[in-house]
Amino acid sequence: MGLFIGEANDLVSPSTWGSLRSIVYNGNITGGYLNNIGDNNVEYAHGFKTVAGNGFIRTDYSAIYENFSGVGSGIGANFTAVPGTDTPPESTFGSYYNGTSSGMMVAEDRAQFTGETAVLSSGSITIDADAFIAPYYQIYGAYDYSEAIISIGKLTAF
Amino acid sequence: MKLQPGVGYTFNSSSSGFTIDTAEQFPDNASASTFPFQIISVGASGSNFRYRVVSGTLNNIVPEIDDVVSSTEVLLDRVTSGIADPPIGQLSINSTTNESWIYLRAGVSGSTGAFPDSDATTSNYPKVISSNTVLFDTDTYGYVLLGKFTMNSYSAPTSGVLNQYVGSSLWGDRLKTGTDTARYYYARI
Repeated sequence: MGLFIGEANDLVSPSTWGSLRSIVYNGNITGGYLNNIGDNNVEYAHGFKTVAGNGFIRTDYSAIYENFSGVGSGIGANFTAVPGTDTPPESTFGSYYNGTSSGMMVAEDRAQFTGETAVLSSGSITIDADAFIAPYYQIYGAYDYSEAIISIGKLTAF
Repeated sequence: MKLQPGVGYTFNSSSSGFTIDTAEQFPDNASASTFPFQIISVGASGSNFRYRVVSGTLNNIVPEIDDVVSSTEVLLDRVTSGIADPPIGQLSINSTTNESWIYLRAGVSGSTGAFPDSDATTSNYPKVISSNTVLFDTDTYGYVLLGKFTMNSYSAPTSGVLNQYVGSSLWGDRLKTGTDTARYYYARI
């Protein structure tokens, strides 16, 4: 019997275009990150997208739309800016991952994001390689109690 | 002299000679073969024009069409008493351009979130429709253009040109980011 591709609850089945890719989630937005999900269907509540409405990336943990790694639970490929101290102003910016050292983004995507400008509510920073390295990620000299990510390169938060 | 097999007959040879086998004098016409979602003109009916669509699948689901004969929604692969009984659709023709677009329409299930909806009692179940305008994807429905008729008349169509754009069954995904209109991605299978 053949496998049905793209089914939401089957982490091991082969997949179609949609389930091979995921949105880049916005870790600074709390609450549910999916509005609706079913076989061959997913509605992202937040994340980053291009003007054209796309912005999906491929990841090594793309067994299904939620980008669940199978190692821990989480929202998959993401960018998150965490306010640290007001004086001196210092915060961290990173793409968190779950349970493994390889990250939730493939190396090609990480390389493309490195050098891009991330526009935050506290100012703009240039993403460097540290953003993908736990546990310290990228340290930047700004602080906003309610830090938010506006855009990352060509990707705009929604 | 050499004898070769031909259309409608073959040879069976043995050490004592050969015989002509004419068991299949009228083999199926290879040119009549069809493919999934092939649109076929049926012809004029009064002031209307009818068509049918060869059965195909979207995510393993056989779509329906409004059967103009029974005025019910019927699966494309309908079989009656063991005999293929494909339903017949009727064109909706643009009164200015004489065009009619044939779409495969499908929506997401309100109960399971699956695309497409596998419940044939809902409007989100895959369905072949004829439209007198170009249709665009919405959050409710995704549309795949199977083909287009350009008829010789809007009010009394008797002939036209048919362009076919899809030639296989399909597999699709529905993705939606934030408040943007859902996008539908299809692959041929």
